[in-house]
Amino acid sequence: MYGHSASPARGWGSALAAALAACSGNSEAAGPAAGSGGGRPAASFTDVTADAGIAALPDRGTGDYFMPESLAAGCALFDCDLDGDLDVYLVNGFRAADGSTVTPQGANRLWIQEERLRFRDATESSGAGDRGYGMGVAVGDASGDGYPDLYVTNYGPDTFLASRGDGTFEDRTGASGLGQPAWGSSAGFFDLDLDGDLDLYVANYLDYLHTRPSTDRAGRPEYAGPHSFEGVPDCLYRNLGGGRFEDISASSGIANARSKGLGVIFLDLDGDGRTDVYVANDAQPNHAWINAGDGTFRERARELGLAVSASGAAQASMGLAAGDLDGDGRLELFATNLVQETNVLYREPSPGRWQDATLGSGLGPPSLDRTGFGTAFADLELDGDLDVLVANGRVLRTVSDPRARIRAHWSPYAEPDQVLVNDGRGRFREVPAGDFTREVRVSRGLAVGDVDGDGALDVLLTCADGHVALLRNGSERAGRWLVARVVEGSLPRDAIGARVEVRAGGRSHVRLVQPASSYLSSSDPRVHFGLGQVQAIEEVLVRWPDGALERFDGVELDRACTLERGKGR
Amino acid sequence: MSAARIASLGALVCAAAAGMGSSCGRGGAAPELPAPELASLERPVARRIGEASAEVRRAPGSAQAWGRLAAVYDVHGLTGEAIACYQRAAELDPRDWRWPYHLGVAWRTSDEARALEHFRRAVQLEPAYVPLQVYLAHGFLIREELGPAEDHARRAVELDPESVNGWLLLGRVALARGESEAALEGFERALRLAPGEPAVHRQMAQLRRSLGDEPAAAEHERRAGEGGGGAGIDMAALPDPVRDEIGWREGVSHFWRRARAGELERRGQGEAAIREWQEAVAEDPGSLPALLELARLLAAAQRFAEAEGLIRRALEIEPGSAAALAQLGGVLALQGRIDESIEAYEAALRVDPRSVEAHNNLGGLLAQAGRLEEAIERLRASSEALPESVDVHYNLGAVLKEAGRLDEARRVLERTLELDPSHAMARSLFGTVLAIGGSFGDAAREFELALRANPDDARVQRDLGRALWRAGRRAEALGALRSARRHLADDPGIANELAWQLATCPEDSLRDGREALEIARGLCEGTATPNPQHLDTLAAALAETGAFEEAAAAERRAVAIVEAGRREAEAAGDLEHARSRARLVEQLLARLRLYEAGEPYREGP
Repeated sequence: MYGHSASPARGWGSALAAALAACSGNSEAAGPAAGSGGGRPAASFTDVTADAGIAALPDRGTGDYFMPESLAAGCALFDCDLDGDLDVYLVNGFRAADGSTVTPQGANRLWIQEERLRFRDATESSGAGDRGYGMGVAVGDASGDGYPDLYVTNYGPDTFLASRGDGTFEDRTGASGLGQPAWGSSAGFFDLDLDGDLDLYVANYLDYLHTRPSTDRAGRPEYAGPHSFEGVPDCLYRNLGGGRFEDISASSGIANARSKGLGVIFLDLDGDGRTDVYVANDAQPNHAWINAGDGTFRERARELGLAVSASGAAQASMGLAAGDLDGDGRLELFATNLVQETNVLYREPSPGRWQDATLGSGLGPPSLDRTGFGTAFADLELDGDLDVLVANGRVLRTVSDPRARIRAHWSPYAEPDQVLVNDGRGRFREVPAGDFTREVRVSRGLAVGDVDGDGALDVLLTCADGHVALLRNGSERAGRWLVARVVEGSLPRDAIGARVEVRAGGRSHVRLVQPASSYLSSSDPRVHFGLGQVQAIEEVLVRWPDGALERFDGVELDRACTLERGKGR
Repeated sequence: MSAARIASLGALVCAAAAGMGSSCGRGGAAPELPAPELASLERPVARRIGEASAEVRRAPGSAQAWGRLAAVYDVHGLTGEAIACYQRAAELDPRDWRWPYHLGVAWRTSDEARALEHFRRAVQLEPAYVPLQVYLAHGFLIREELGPAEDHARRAVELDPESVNGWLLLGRVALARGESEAALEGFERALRLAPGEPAVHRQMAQLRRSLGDEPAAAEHERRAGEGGGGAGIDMAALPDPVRDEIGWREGVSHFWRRARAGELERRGQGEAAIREWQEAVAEDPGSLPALLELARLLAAAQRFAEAEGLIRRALEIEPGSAAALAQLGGVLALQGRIDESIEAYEAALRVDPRSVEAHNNLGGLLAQAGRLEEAIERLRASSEALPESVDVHYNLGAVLKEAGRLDEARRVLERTLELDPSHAMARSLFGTVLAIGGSFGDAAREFELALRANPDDARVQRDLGRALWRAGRRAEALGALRSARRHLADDPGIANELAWQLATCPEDSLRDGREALEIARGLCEGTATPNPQHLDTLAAALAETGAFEEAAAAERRAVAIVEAGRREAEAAGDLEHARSRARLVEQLLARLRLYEAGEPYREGP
C-alpha cells in the first residue's frame, strides 16, 4: 500500500483530488490519448499567465547595464501552504537610480494558487517579499517542521525565509546563521551527512562591483562578461537542527576553489551511493564535489570526466538537469551553455566514469546558436521517456530577432526557447511547442511542475526583463502517468535525495526527488512519470537517502499519490 | 534605441536573409541604408559610418561601397547592419567571394546554419582560402556532419600543411568517429606546428585521459593553462588576413585602438602605440578613456609631465572619475611626488571607496616610501572596507612582515588564505613569516602548497629548500634547491644556497664537496670583488675537498670585504648595520680558524 497523507494540511490528498475531479471532463486529464495522425504526439504549451492572474515583475533593465540584471532571476513551483496545489515564487531584483539594490520594487513575489490556475498575490501577507537584489531560490523543509522554507540568493546577502506553516514566512536569516554575503546564484538543499535534516549548498558567482558599464566594439554600453571579475568560493552549510546552520565551507573543502558558479545539482557522481554536488561554472571547468561522507568534499570533475566538454574546453555553463534519458536506469547529466558552445550531455557508462555524449544525441547542433539557461527533463507527452526543455537568452547583443516583442533594450538578447523530444532511445529532435517556443524572450529561470493537477508537467519561465510565463502543458498524450510526493520523517517532509523507480509495462522509470536544478530555480518536488501505454503499475521502489529500499504496491495510474516512508514494505 | 528602430532593423536583416537564397542580382532594388542610432556610438565610429554611408549614396550600385560600409558596421559589432550591407554587396557583385565569406562570419554567432550556407557559397568562388576551409570544417563538425567536416579540414591542410586548425579539426573528426590513433596523429601534427597552443593541449588532455594516460593528460592540461586563451574556444587563433584587414582598416573605436596599440606595444613600438591614441584624442578630445589610455602609455614611456597633463584634462571633463584620480596618483608617485600622490589616491577612494586598485596602491606607496606604519594603518582600513578583498589582505600581510610585526602578519595572511586558499603568493609569504618565526616544518608545508599552484616557481623552491634544511630534512632540501636551480640557473642566491648545503651538510651521504666547489667557483670567478657570502661558500667547499689552505685564503678575503663594510657603516653612523657586519665577521673568523686547523665546517645536526 502506498500512504496517502490523512491531513489535507500536509499532503496532496483532498485538494488535489478535488482539482483532478474538477478537470475530469477535460479529455487531456481523463487519460491517454493517441498521438495525432499515427506520428509521434506533438508537444504544445499555452501561455496562461494572464488568465492565472500572475503579473510580470518590474523590468529591471535600467540602461546602466548592471550585470546582475542580465542574469536574474529564478523562480519556484512549490506548495507553500500544503493545500495540495502548487504555488509560484518569483525572485526579483531592482536597482534604484542611487545604486541601492535593496528596494521595494525589487521585492520577490509569492502567488498562491487559490483555485485551479487562479493565483492571488500573497507577497505582502506572506512576508516572502524579500527586497534584496534576488537571483535564485532553493526550497526545502530546512527547519524540519514539515513545511517548505525558502532560501533566496541575492546580489548581496542572501535571505532565509522560514515557513510558519500557514503560507506565511519569517525572515530568520540572522538566527539561522545563513545569509552569506557573496553574489549567490543557484542553491539547493540536500542531506549531506544523512542525519535526517537538510543541509544547504549555495553556488556563488563572482566578485562584481558596478562602476560604469562595459562597452562593446562600437563604444555602446554593454553588460560585462565574467572574465573581468574574480570568481568566489561557494558556500556549504550544515544543518545543526533547531533552525540553526553552521558554515562548513572551509572545513568541508568547498572554499578551496574560487569559481564562477551559476547552476547546481545533487546526485551521486562517483557511484558510492552518497549524494555529491555538481556545479556549473561560467567560463571555467565545472566542479564535481565528491562527498567523502565525513563532512568533507573533494573536487574531482576532471578525473570523473565532468569538468569540460569533449574538446577539452571549459564552457560557460549555466543550467543543469539530471535524469535517465535512455531508460537504462542510469542518470544522465545535462548542462546548458553559451552560444557557439553546444549544450553538453554527459553519460555514465560505468560508475564514476562520465563521458561527453553530446555527439549523436541530437542535443548539440540545435544549441549552437543559443545561450541556454534554465533547463529541465520532463516527459511532456507521457510516452515514457524524458524530453528536454531549454530556456534561452543572450548575454551579449547580437542581431535582433524581429519576432521579439519586448522592449528595445532587451530585444538584441532575445532568443526562442527550445523543446527537444526524445525518440525513446535517448536521441532528440527539436520541435515546436506552442507558446513555449513561439515567443522570443530573454529567458533565464525555468521550473516544471504539475500546476493544474492534470498529470502533465507545466512550466514556469522567468526572463531578464521581468517577463513571467506560466505555460500549461497541452501536449498530445501518448500514455498514462503518475505523480508522487515522496516523504519521510515524523513531520513528513519531501525526501530530497530519494530515488524512485516505477516498473510498468515491462519498463523501468527512474526519478530523483530533488527540486533544485535548472538555473536559479526550484521545481515541483514531487516526481512525475509518463509511462506510455501501460495497463498498470507493477511496483514502485523507493531507495531512501540513507540507502534503505522500500516497495510500494497497488499504486494506481493517472493519480497523484504520496509515498510515505514506512507505509510500504 | 526605439522599438520602431529595432523593428525596421529586423526587417532589414530579414530582407537580407531572404535575399540570400534568391537571385536578386544586380537588378534588385537597393535596400534602405541602415540607420543605427549614432548618438550611442563613439564619435569616430559614428563619423566613419557617416563617411561610408555617404559613399554608398554617391555610388549605390557599387559593391565596394556597400562592402566598405558593411565592414565599418561589422568590425564595430553592429552585425545586423553589417549583414544587410554585405548582402547588398553580394547582390551587386556575386562573383566576389569576400561578401558571402563576411556574411558567414557575421551570422556565426546567431544562426550557424545560415553561416554555413554563406561559407559554402564563398568556397565555390574561392576554394583556396584556408580560413574559409577551416570555418567550413568546424561548422560541419559541430553540426555532426563528419564527412564534409573531414573533406574541408583535409583541404585546409592540403592548401597549408602548417594549418594548426586544419590538423586539429582532422583530429577532432577522427575522435568523433572513435578513431583514437588518427585523432592522436592530427593533434600531434597540430602540436608540432604550435607547441604552446592551448586548444590543442586541451584536446590532447581529453584524448589521453580517455586512453587512461592520466599523467600525460595532466601535463597537457598544465600546458593548456600556460598558454592562456579563453574558455569555450575550441579552435586555435585563426590567422585570417581578409578579416584582419577590415579590422585594421576600418576599426576606429577604442576597442580597435586598444587592440592595435597593444599589438604595437608587444612589438616594442611604444611610440607608434602612443600615436594610435594621440589620433584617438585628436578625433575625440573629450573622450575620457582615450585620454587615460594615452596617459598610461606616456607614463610607461616616462613622459610623466605629458601624462599628468592629460589626466588633469580628463579630470576637468569628469572631476569625479575615480579611475582618473587613481591614475593621477600613479603618475605622481612615479615622479616621486608622494604627498600629492597620496592625496590623489585618497580622492579616488572618496569617489569609489571599494576601489581595490586605489586601496592597494596607496598602501603600497606608503610602504615604498618607508612609511610602514602609515601603510599598515591605511591597508588595515582598506581591509575593513573590503573584507573580501584577497589582494588588500595580502598586501597588508606583506607590509606587516616588512615592519617585522610577524604575529599580525601571520594572522592577516591566515585570513587571506581563508579567502583564497589557492593564493600562491600569500601562501609563500605565509611560509616566509613562519620560517622567520622558526616554524620551519610548517613553513615548508606552506611552500609546498604554494608550489602546487605554481610548480615551477624557482624562488619558492629555494625558500622551500631553506626551510627544509632548517627543519633537518636535508635530502628533501637538496632536492628542492636542485629543482630551483634547474628553473633559474642564473640565480646566484639559489646557486649559493645549494653549494653551501652540499659543502656543509652534516649527513655524509648527502655531502658533495666537488659539486659544491664547482658551483661556488662559478659564482666567484670573473669578478674583482666577489660577494663575501659566495667566498664563504667557496671556502667551505674547498675545505670539504681537503684544500684547507685555499679555503683559508678565500675565507680571509671574505673577512676583509665584510670588515671593510663594517668600518664604512661605522663611519657613516649606521651602527645597526655595523653591528650586523661585526657579527658576520665573527662567524667567518670562526670558520677561518677551523680551516687553518685543517677541519671542514659542518652545519649543526
